[in-house]
Amino acid sequence: MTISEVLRIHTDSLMALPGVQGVAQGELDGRPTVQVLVAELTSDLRGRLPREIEGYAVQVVETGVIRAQPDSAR
Amino acid sequence: MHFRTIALRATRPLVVGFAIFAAACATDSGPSGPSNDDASFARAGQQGPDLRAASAAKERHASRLMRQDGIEGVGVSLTDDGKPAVVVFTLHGAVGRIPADLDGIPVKVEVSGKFEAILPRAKPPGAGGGGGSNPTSRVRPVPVGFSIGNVGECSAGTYGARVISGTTRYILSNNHVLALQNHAAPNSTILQPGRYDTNCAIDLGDAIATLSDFEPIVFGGANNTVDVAIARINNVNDVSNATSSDGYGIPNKVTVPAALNQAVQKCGRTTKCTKGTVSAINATVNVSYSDGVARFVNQVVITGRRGAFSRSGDSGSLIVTDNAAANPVALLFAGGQTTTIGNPINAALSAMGVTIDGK
Repeated sequence: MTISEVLRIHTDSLMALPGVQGVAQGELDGRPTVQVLVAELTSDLRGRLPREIEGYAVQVVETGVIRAQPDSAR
Repeated sequence: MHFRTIALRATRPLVVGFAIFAAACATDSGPSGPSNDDASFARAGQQGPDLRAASAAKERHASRLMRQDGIEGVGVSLTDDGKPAVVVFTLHGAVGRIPADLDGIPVKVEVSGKFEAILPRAKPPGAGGGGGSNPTSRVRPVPVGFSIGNVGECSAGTYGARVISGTTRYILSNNHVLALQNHAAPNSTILQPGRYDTNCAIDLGDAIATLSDFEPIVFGGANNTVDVAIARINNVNDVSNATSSDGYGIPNKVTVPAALNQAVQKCGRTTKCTKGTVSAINATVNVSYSDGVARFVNQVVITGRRGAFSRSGDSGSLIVTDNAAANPVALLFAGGQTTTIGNPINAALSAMGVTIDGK
């Protein structure tokens, strides 16, 4: 299965986990990874995330909440 | 507070207040100069010795002393063993004819050098020449990467790129910068700088463009691909297609797809010109806006090489390759603490029916 197919199949269920901000294709040691962007990597969330999907490593990146970036007085 | 601190071992910088106090006292005509407030000296005296006699001596003699070459200021202080004194500030160590005491009050001499007023640094009127441009300032012609905003909100984002369709030129940025998350009126005025950088003041003399088109952002779960808008430029002479000299110059007309580990750069209103690396592609991301959360697909993720790649206010920046070609890769619109999210540039440009007006 290609990495694109894995992302197509698994993104929604990963995004449904609390705190997950995004799911993407990353790279580690030259191999594609399933990269999961999380607001905060709690041990609960770490426990819910698989270590690999269909042979692709799951790479977790803590990003905080992802927001649009204007500077606003509101 | 120990009064000696106020008297200052005058290293030049922040002595102004005291120097003015001293100089003003020196030019007062009478012994009861307005700035020589008995009450304040009495307060100082509560924590230490009574300074009123020293103050009076200073008042009597300051005008004469200040007329002397090399004397920069006169004040009230304490001797090394804590007794009230008149302090004389001098230009250098060789100033002569300073009395050892005045009316029984010891005089101490401090070599201060010149006292200089600290003026607020004025914003440069033109584009910064070589390092040090200020993207929140008003500049004409506007460089790529500078502050812009819609007249309808006190906010600011970034002028991403000059784009073109036929012979008409536009400013490219985000929907949430130019069109206020779908809310702005068609043809509404775009200002440079954005109102967040003018203390929210509206100066229609800052207008550079009018809102022309935007891709609506759909909140609540549908897939978005771009957060993009364009505004027709009022006067092309007012809007440059190049960054300030701090940045990469004119972006390339030819775009390239994002690739993992690609070296990229951007110039934006908040973090100015920064470099980063594409750390993920084909990203599905939930992005928080003031109006709610919108889901974006097929996004580019960038991580800064040295510190943050972007911060609030950099929205709308064009992300280009970090090389001489400066090929556009993505349109910056969102970020977390350590990551930046951009729309693939081709999707943004084709949604608006424009191309990069570049080199």
